[in-house]
Amino acid sequence: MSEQRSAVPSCHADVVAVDAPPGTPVVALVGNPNVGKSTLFNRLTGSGRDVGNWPGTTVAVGRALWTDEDLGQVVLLDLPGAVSLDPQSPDEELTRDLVSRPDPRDRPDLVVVVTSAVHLARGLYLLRQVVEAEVPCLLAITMSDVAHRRGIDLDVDALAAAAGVPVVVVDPRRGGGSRDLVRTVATSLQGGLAGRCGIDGCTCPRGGCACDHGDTAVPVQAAQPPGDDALARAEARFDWVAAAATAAVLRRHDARDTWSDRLDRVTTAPVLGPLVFLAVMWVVFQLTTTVAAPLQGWLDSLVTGPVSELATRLLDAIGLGGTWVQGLVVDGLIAGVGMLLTFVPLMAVMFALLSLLEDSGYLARAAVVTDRSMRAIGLPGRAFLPLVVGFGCNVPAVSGTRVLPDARQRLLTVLLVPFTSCTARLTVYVLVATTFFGDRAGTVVFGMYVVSILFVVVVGRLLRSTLLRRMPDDPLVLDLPPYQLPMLRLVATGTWRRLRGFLRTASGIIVVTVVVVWALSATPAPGRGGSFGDVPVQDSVYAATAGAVAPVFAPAGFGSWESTSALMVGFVAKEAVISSWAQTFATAEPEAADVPGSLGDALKVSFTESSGGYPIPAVLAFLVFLLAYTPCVATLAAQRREVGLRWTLTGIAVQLTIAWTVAVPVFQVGRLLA
Amino acid sequence: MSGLQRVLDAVAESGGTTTVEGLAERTGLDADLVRVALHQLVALGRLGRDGMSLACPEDGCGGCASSASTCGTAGRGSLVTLTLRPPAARG
Repeated sequence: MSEQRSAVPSCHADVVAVDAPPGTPVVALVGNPNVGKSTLFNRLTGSGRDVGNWPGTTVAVGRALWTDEDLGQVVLLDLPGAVSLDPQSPDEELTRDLVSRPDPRDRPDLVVVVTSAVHLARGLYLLRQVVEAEVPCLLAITMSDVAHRRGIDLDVDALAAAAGVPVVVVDPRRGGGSRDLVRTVATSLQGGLAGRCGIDGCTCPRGGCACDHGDTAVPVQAAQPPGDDALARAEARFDWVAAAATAAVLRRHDARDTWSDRLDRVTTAPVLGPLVFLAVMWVVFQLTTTVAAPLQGWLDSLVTGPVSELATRLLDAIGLGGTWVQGLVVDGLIAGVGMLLTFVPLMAVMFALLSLLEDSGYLARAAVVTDRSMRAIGLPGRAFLPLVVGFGCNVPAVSGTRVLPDARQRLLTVLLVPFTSCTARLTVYVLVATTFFGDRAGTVVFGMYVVSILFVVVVGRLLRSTLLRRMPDDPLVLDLPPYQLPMLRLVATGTWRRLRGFLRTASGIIVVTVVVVWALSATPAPGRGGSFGDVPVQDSVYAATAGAVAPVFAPAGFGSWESTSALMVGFVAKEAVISSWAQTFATAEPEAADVPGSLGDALKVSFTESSGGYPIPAVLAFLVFLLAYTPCVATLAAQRREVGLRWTLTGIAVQLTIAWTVAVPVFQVGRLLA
Repeated sequence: MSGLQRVLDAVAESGGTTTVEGLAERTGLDADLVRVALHQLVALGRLGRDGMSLACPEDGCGGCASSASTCGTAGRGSLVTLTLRPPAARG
């Protein structure tokens, strides 16, 4: 093939821009991610390119001239990391395309399959596919020192014999084995050893093969059955990999577990695992509430002070001061949406911590712990996935139930998802908890998540023992990523992705809700005095409607129209509870609303009055109700799509009934204890 | 019986949630070999593979009502799940 192109592979001219003389051989490094392929590339070429662990550093095809007195000049390609040549990502697709071009002359002259001694089988699988692609190749083994520490030694001769290709052990970080690799590559390019790994055993597409291991190699072609049975071919491939790995790997008895394994023994242990999970989540909420509190207070001062004043002055300047427009802008949009935006630092801290946990691999363990809890209460394994997603957002969790094959599993999960506490509810927890519980706010918020899990467990058991008795448990395999040190870039990206979702909600549906709430609170109720935009909020349609429902919540200690209206608006989205409160109290007492922290003071007064002097039990009851009742209209829409209107309405009834049934004793018992 | 078939049978017989290490114990294969087998089974379409993220949808709650299992983008630390799929019908 090298004779066919001028400087580089003709078909790859767009990606291989190395200035090499015509006929320069092309050698490609191919390997699983994180095996030291890029380090080897840098070691051989001295190009000093960045080396990293994650797609991004080897997404592009690396290329450089590799010059050595024993080798001459070679174009060396560093192809993107690939688990196999069955592409499951664009990176792998590129690697597959570059290695297995339809015309053999367009393929590299030689492929060096780089594999880690720690995970030899995975590398052998890739090697086998390269072999099947009829590309001359050899195997370079990295990380043998790491493997040795883990009690794994390799019999290189046995491996070369079993795999039927030359094998070289290299240490890219220290340069060990580089000369061996140079010599083997040089020999291979001259039509030597590597040519023998064509798919027809020792028949090399370019001729000149050296079949010195032919008798001992596991025959590639012979193991393949005739016909086009994909499963049978895959079985043959797997057995080839297993045979080669078995021949080469020697496990010592003094093997040491990795720190990831040791950590896993704790974090996924049946009893200790859930305790660790609870402790981690407590720390998350504690940090969230304490770190973000000063920033939130500062933003609150900004919104209630300079921003509101500036808007008022501007409206005065254009002649709209004192009109309904001022009410909409200052007491509606700025008070409502502005108050919600003060939660941005809090959400940012929370999301950063979650991203940190996710990137480290811990959240995957938390999912395993959650799964175990689900199974302990008789819920099917696959149902836990949407439930875990529900702690982020209920809408995708409900949509995610469609992957469940059984209709009853789907129904059960759809009915349970609303009890998982989504991040939208977190904002309300934090506002209420910081207002009423001070330094213990983090613990209260953490407690709400525990209550959420209890709701899922109890309601799940209830449904399984009544409506949904028979349910299959389909198999599900969990593949845990190894623990790793979080990367700042990935954590920042994850945080921003989550924060952007919060901001879009705040700037979309919440703005619409604020306008509607403002319009309702500016409209006089029938039989009351005043006109549109000039009516005390207590006499508005908004207050009258909430006031009609409020007595229902009196036994739970929060039967005020202010709290009831917030819960009613919360049907739209849980963040709207905050904007609704902020609007209500800003409209009712515009002077007080200009004082930072005034919303918290107004809430204290409201809950104290509605509970007859027992605000703490009333607040706890309110939080429990908020957690258990219908999450938002988007979730309802998703539920209707997945299980139909009848079950969606049934779900609403179940949620409201359970929420009220639990909130009332929380208040009543709390009041007795207080 | 082929190792690949053993892994497939072990998944089917697990009757619930299992892990790669659990399958390794059940089949007597090395965990790495089990991963190779699972990868092949995904390529064959006998297993479905999903990365799971807890992130909120990028366009806010409610913005991904038509998505599959999750709206968030699975990262390197995300849990990967594999579920059985029926074999493709032969033409």
